[in-house]
Amino acid sequence: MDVPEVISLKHLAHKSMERFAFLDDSAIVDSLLEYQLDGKAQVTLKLPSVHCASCVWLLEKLPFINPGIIRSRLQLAGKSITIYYDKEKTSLRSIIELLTMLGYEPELSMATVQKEGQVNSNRIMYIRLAIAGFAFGNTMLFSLPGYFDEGMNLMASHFSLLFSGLNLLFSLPVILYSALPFFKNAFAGVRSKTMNLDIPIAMGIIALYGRSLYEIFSNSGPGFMDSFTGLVFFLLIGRLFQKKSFDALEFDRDHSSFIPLQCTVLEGEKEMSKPVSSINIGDALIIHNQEIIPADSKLLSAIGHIDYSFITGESTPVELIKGGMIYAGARVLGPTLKVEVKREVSRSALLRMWNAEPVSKSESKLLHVSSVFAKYFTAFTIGLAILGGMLYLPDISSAINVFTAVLIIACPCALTLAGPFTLGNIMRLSAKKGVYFKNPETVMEFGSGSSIVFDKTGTLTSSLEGQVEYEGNILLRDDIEMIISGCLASTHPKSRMIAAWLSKRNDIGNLSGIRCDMFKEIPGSGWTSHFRGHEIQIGSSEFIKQTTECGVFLSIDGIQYGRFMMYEGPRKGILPMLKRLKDDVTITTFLLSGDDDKHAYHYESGFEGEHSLRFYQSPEQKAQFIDALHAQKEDEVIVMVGDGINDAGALKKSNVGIAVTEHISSFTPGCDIVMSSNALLYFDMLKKYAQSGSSVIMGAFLISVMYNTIGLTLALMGILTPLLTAILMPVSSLTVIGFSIGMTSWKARHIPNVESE
Amino acid sequence: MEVIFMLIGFSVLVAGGFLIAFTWAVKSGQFDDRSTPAIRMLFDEQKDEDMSKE
Repeated sequence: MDVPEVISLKHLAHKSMERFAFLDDSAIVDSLLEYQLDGKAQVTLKLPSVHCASCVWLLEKLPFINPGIIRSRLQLAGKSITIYYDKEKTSLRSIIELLTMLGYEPELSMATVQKEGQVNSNRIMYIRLAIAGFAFGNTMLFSLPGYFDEGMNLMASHFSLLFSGLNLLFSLPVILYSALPFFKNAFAGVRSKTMNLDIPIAMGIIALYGRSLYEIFSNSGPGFMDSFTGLVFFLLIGRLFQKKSFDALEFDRDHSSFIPLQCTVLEGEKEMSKPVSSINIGDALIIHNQEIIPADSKLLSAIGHIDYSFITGESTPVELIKGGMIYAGARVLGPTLKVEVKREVSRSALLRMWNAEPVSKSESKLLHVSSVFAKYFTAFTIGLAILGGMLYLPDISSAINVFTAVLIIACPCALTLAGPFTLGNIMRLSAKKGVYFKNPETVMEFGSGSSIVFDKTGTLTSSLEGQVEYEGNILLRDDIEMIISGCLASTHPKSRMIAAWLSKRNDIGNLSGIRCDMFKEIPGSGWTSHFRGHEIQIGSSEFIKQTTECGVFLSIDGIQYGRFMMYEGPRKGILPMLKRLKDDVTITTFLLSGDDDKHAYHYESGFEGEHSLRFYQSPEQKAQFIDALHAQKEDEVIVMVGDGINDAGALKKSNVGIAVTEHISSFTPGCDIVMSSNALLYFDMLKKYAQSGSSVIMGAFLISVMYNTIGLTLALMGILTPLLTAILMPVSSLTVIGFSIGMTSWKARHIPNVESE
Repeated sequence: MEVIFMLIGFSVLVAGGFLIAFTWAVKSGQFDDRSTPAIRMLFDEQKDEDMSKE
């Protein structure tokens, strides 16, 4: 019985290589290549399955396997490989087939063609930082003499002009180049009338720089160019710390990443390989096993198995019959399908959802906690600055002095250091625990969430925890052995589940002795086997010729016995987590499920009462439920935890959408956080951890307030020498950074790390 | 004290040299990938000969 398996695997391998046929088209190849010269070419491919040191070893030895490859370089963090090859000796197609054979199938999509940008933004960041650091070091040197008494004399002499001039010179690239991102973000915030944390930062920078310019040009003092360059330098370090982008993970994945480059169009009787961009409505497409459907289409073949896991993260394939709609992004499993294009690629449901996203996002996200924080903080700072200035009003120069001083002191301390370092460190440590935040603001929002809505299927449940139920005629020991014998011969996961369940329930330890005599499987329908003279048939309702809807049906010697029902059980450890959440009085939890309430009893203990459990919910109803929650609890943050496109609406409507996936690289629409399914078991701890972020920032804020108060008191008492100030400022900054990082690391110690892929 | 003018000139020159060197390093892609080279150096390199022939 092993033989057919081997044949089908070989067949599959051959079939799967056929799908690279489009790489023989030189126009497509040219669009993939980075450059070509003298018959040599370079290409960079994304390999999602790269994960360890051995991959580097193997993939950089490609020139030994295919001599046409001159050089191959792997980038582990970005999961991409750059291959330089001789076009005379090998082709892109054979390189890609080689990679696929080795188990590293490259991701080939429209996005592969239009790329660039990512690497460059990192490079620019480094250069910005280097220039700010360079200017900081130098201006600090030139400003230092000003802090000493003798220096004062020195500054008063002919050096003062030189030092001021040099400071001014060094500060120019900092304000014009290094500080640019803050101004850009602040400007974007002002234009879209949304508050962001860059607005007060930009104000602080402008106040500091403006005042320094004024002092230098009016000859009233040396200015604060060292503080200014230092501020921008620390800000950029904070940014870099925060940025910790998850190279392999893309939150803002473009729709083009999911659409293949090419497809097979049926013209008359001829199969033509065409670029996806030239498909029209009404075209008949041939989609082979493992290929992605490029546009919303109607199924023309009798029956088809579609895997939506690419889109939804749900691993169970969907069965469709002739006339059913297949949405773009679905992967075909099993036999080749014929479909008719119903909508243009650019108007597929997948893309429309995408394009609709920003609108609903900005509408529903008005309650951004961080923007509320930024709003209050900005208002508070400006208010305090104006108030301070007013007190000195008749004396305009003192008033401006106080006004700018407050802006200068308040902005950097709390926001530029405590915020980025605290939130950045939480993001870094959470990533180790399997939680990937889209941006630092999300951390704050997640922590403040008070209503948590869970999707059931695929989120709280797992196909790994599959459970089986049987209804029908009573099965005797002989019957059970008969069924197990056939199930063991079948490769279908459902058969395996039935075998495991039956043997466990009936305590059959030794399965090796149970062998069937004859076995015949019809993929997608079921199988027939003979065992001790009986004929057993198991399969879909059609296969057993019954009409009842779902389940796997059993017939023995032609008599219909009953059916097995499969359902996904709750993940191991998920119920204790739900109970902990339920015991937390500040949090209300809800369960939404598209399924029936047959298995509700699993979850009753984890939720408060019946009103928080909702079944038979369509994707629209899920989204409406979130809307209703918003209306009911106006100022509260609603967290939605779901697993894919059927939750996409609800994920977008919520304040924080969390997409749970088994594989972090799978497609996650409209989400703010990507969470690995293992991390879901510690959801309550992770939420508390994110919540601790704001208290850490507050703590850091208090520390800086303390420093400022001490400094101010000392100044009033006349003890504060310029030297002491120069020491106090960096010490207070370092304390704030140390506190932020130390506290967030300490608070993360209880949450176990999740093994990443 | 006039020597300071010259010293400042030198110090800015040296520091500027480092800045330019760093910018060049970043632009030539030396900071693009900071994890793979650490692994790569652990492999036994017989392929170096083959690669230099290209």
